[in-house]
Amino acid sequence: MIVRLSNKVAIVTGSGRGIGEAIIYRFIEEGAKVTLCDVDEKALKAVKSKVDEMNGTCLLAVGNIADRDFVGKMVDNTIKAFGTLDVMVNNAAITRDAILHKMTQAQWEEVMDVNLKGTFNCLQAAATYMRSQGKGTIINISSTSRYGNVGQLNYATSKGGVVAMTRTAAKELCRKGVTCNCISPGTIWTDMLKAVPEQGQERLKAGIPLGRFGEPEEVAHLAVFLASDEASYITGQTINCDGGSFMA
Amino acid sequence: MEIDLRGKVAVVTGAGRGIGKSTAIALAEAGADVVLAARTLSQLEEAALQIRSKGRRALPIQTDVTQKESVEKLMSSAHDQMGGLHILVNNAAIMAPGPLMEQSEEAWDRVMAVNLKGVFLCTQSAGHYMIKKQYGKVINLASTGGVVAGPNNASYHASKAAIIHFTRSVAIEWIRHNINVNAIGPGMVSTELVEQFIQGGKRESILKGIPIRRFADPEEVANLVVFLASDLSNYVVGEHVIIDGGLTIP
Repeated sequence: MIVRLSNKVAIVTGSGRGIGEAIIYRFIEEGAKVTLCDVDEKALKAVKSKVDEMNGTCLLAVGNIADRDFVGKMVDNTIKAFGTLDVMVNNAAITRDAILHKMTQAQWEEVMDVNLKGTFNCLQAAATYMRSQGKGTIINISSTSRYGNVGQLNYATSKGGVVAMTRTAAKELCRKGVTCNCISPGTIWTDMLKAVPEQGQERLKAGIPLGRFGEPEEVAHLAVFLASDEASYITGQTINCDGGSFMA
Repeated sequence: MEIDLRGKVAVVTGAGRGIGKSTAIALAEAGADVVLAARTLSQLEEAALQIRSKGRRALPIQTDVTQKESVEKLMSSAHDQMGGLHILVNNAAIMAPGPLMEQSEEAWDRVMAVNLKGVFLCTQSAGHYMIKKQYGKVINLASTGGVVAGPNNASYHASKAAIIHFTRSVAIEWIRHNINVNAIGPGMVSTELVEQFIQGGKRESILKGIPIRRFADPEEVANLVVFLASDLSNYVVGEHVIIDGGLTIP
């Protein structure tokens, strides 16, 4: 089965590194044109140079998705540059871990600002355009932390919210030809995980039935499938990509 | 991405029609050799012709998934004649719709025998070969009916709910053998099975309940099977992936 994203235009937020970066390379390999988005300009430029090496086409959007004006401009610029927007991948997210009784208001608000409000901004901007076109697909990235994770009350709550957004948007957009799904990655080998001390990593690994961490590319494969026309009847779903840690 | 299943042998139950037939053909298009199982051999021969025309090997085997000997013969033939057994698609299923008060014990037993015991027998029998090789992909066809309740089909719904949890249980048991077990939950698909359920002009009212306003083509479900049968989905374990055009978004 050939799954291609030829001539599709995509935006992937949080694509300076990790899962977002992996999604960019896979999308480029399948023929998509992409807009890279991250707060970290240096990281984005490094990703762009790899995209250039792959003879891919990309646009840079440096900024914070919590800023509605920035998001609006990013979507507009993408449509101006590439003529349309077919795929929106809402991947950008941050962690500000703390145990509940020590969590500061700032830690709560920073996470909600990016992970919830930022995702809402991007979802709304993309959906507004896509419904007017009568086609498009949105992929939100949640996390298995949504099931509850010690030290991540803020992050887990935001990722549960992303699932609720996915379902609601799918219901609203379905009749307009737009699908919306969600990937819920488990413990993936990204900078977020590499920062965990080795002992903690071993503990995490012990909880994964598959016995290993996921690679960002494994999440990206699923994103390619969901972004493709082959997945046209799937909407409103959240798929765990987690080595069996949680089964839904 | 090109999903390349060349060198893989897939067994598909209920392969004579509907989702099973589409899946068998889609797996062959992705490069797999396919063993087709069903009760009606003539339908399998037809699907086998299509697969052979794509340059893949096809082995139709008349099978009753409720009978252990029949299932063991299916799996051993697949393994011995095709040279391996890498992918199992448990698709065979029946339905005995109607109000619960009118459901006979025989109808209940029959639904459970085909839909649930059949999946158990096939999975166990295939597992014998997969565990030995430390490789396998098992895809169970469940249903949105296994998640969301509806009237007049209790036996079918119960059997499909059981398959979803069977999937999780075996997934967690077998992932250490490098065998991925997942399930797919189709909603309304254009198949004879669904037609059987909606007979009597209910189509229009059912369509109104599907946000995407159409039934799935069996090929769309087959695409998802192929993805889960490939190594691109190795980190997806024990999931029930619903494909229903928004029918059952919670």
